This record gives sequence, C-alpha cells and structure tokens, in this order.
Amino acid sequence: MAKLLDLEVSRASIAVRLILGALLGALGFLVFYYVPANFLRLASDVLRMEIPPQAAGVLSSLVDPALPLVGLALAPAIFLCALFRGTKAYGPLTVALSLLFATYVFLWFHGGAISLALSIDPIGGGVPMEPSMSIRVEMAMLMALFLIPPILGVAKGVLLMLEKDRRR
Amino acid sequence: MRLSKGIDLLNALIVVTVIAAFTVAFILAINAFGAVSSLRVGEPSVNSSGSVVEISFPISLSNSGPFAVSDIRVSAELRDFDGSLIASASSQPFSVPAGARGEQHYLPIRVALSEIPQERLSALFSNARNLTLGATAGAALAPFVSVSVHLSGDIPWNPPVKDFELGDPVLLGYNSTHIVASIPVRFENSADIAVEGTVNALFVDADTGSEIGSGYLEVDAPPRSEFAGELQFALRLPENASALMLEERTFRCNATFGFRVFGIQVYSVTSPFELAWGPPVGSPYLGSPSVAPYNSTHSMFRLPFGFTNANELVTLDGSARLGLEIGGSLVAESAPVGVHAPPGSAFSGELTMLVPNWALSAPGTLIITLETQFGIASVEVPVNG
Repeated sequence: MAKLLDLEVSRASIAVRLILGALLGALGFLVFYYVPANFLRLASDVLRMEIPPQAAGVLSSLVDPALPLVGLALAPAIFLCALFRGTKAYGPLTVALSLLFATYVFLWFHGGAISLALSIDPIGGGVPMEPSMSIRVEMAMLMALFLIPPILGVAKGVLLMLEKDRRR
Repeated sequence: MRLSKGIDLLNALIVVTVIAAFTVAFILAINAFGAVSSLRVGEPSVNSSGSVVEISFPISLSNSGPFAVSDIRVSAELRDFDGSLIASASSQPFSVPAGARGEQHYLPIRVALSEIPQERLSALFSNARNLTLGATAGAALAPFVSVSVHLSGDIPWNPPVKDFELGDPVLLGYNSTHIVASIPVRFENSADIAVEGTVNALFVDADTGSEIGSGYLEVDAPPRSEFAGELQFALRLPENASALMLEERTFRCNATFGFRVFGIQVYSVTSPFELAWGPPVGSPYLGSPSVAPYNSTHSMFRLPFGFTNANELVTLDGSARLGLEIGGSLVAESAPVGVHAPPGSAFSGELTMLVPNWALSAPGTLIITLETQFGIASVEVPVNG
C-alpha cells in the first residue's frame, strides 16, 4: 500500500491512476490545445486543399487567441484530477478544472457573440460593387447551456471539499 | 451521507447537461444547415405606386425544425458620397415555423422617392458619383442563436440623364393662337436603372419671363442606352399676330425640361432656346402704277405688287385690296384679289381700282390691305397726285 496525500491506495491503483490520468491528459491536450492551436493546418489537411488567405483569416478569427492557452492548462488539470481522485486535493482540483472549463467555454463562444469581417469578391449580376461583409452570431444562450456543466463541476468540487472537512 | 448523495446528483446532472448541451448544439447545426440550404431567392419584382417604389424579393424556405427560424428581416440604406442618407428601407420581420416546407414569403422593401430632397434627386440623375449601399439581414433560431449579416460597399453611380442635348426645333403647325413645333431631345442613360416617365417642357419668354408654351415627351430609356425623341410643344402667338405676317422674328425663350419618373419630378434642366420665324409676307414690293382713262369721270388705276413667303411652314391664304384715301376719306377701293402663297414661293399680282379723275391730282394715301389667316395688315404709301 502507498499513501497518496490522505488516501491509502495500492501501488496498482496508483499505476492505473497514472496511466488513466496520462491518457485523459493527453486526450485533453489533443482536443483542447492541439486542435485549436493548429486549426488552420488541420482544416487544410481534412479538406485536402490550401485554404485561401481570405478564408484563412476568417477561420483564424473563429479561434480566440487565448483558447489554446486555456486548453494547455486543462491537460495537466485533467491529469491531476484523475491522479488525485478521492484525495483531499480532489475537491480543489475539481473546482480549478471546472473553472478552466468554464473559461474555455467562454472563450470558445467568444463571450456569447462572435463577429467576423469578410472581404468578398465583387458581386456579379452586373452590379459593380466591391462589398465588405460582417457577420455577427449571438449565441449567449447556447454558451449558457454549455456553462452549466462547469458550474455544476464547481459546486461538486465545493461539496467534495465540505465532505473532506466533515470527515476530518 | 447527504453530501455524497449531493455529489452523486451533481455527477448525474453534469452528465445530463453535457449530453443536453451537445445535443442542442447538434440539432441547431442541423436545423440551421437545413434552413440555409433550402433558401431560394427569386427574381425581384418592382412595383410603383405614386412616388413609392416597392421592390419585392420572393423567398422560399423550409424548416425541418425543431426550432422555428424567427425574426427574419432585411434592411438596406443607400447613402450619398458625403454620407447623407438617400433612401432607407426595411422589411417586416417574419418567421418560418418548425416543419414548414417550401414556405413562400415576400421581402418587400419600400422606397419613397418623394422623401428624397429634390436637389439630391436632381444631382443623382445628372452626376456620376460613388454611393454607399449598406444592407443588413438577420434571422434567429430562438432562443439559442441569432445571426445578422451586414453587407456594405461603394457602388459607382452613373447618371440616368447624361449629356442632355437639344437639337434644332422644327415648326409643325399653327392655328390662330399657337404654333406647334418639335425639338429633338437626346440623352444617354448610363445608369443601371431604366428611365420610364415623361419629360415635361415649360417655355418662358426670355424677355418678359411670362410662360408662353408647354409640351411633353414620353421617355422609355432602358439601362445603358441612348435615348432620342422629339418633344412636341405649343407656343402661344403674340396677341398682335398680324405683325407675324410681315416681320421676321425670333422667339427667344428659356425652356425647362423636367423629368418625371414614378410620378415625381426627379430632374430638371433649363436651356435657352430659339425658334426662328420667317415672315409669310417677306420682301414685299410695289411695281410702277399705271393710270388709263376709263370714262369721263373715272380712270383705271393699276398697281402691281408681290412678295415672297419666307416662312417654312405657313401657306398664306387670303386676299389683298387697294384703297385711296384723300383727306381722311376713302375715295376709291379695288375688288379683293385672292392671295395664295405656299411656303418659300413668290407671289405677284395686280390690284386695280377706278379712281375719280379729280383724285388723281390730289395728294392722298394708297392703302394696300392684306387679309389672311393671321388677321389684317395694311401698308400705307403716300402719293402726291
């Protein structure tokens, strides 16, 4: 038996936790950091074509610059949560992970509204116009829906901390 | 125990809300993709009523649901190069409920031309410039997503009435009060809109400023075409029309041509204008008179006369008479001689009258009177017996 903070666990359990944490952390790194950080290149690979500069600008603006950084912070948080599950650190780690997720969701939805500026080709049909286009997508309610799980996660973390305190 | 139950409940809620959030996002994406891919915009129809032009875009939209596509709206505004508003229009918002298939809607955009200041409208019809068009369209998948698209850009505006020119007027006809003429009107419609309406002309005497005539011309100039037409007009003759019989004259006036499109005047141009009038009795001459004894009391007096009808239009018809006045009294008068002079022709005739012998030696006045469709004109020639 080995001691993991305040929890007595078997060595095998620690090994499982490490492996599971590493897998989940790697998955989190891939999904929450690698994909948004390399969005353009991945999109180009999937579509098997060079993304035109105008479209590249639009696609780039879909990803908030801070999103990969938060995604990068999520990977170790996921690993630590998997490792320290059931310990006294699990409650604070759950709160931290949930807050990171909440931040990630907020950045993913650009705070509830995303504005894109497009420069498009001249309109055809004999209209000699070189237009500029801007699109604004309001999705505050959808963002609120996605914020519910992290908020519940924060509540869960607080309850975990209260439970640990009561057991002491 | 309660805390661990609460934690279990939160775990379950987290799972449920994560599934719910992704499910809603997926359904929204499918819903939006289906609606956008079913969107069809037909050819716009343009209707005008008075000065209001309504451009109606037929659109067809299906919505497989489960969310209604609501608050679909379009608005547009057109601004001049200096940023001032020329026209704005917006449609009434409408919704397409979930389950609707190929629902037909019309997006009407109304533009009230009468609300555009006259000077700006006039400048738009005659000057090239850059206009800025801004259009906004929006829709919502309530309550989760709403999208608005704003399009703006500069449009080079070519004037519908460019290089307006007047040709030389041509006399067409006349009556006792008016002459009717036509004037070639030419302009280039360099715009992408049709000019369909009328050109109303108002003629004002250049000297007196009083209105002396009017005319109009139907105009139908398709986009990017040249228009040429003949504007017919009537000019009021002066009250002393008989003077026109003998005098060469030039009608000088200022002509204002007003373009009316969709029932309102959109552009007007004023141009000086001249119409030459040749006298129907031009270059009149009297030949050498001759006197021959007729009887013991009277002699036969003969006077050749002639003129050239210098008018291009009028055939002069009427009669000529000769009279001799001595001391204010008419002592001899000829019978009327018929006069018929087509345009450009020379006319010659002879007036004869019996004159009392005593009058041949008295100073008096020979009066030649022309009575035609223009009225009566007289020429007096003093004689010394």
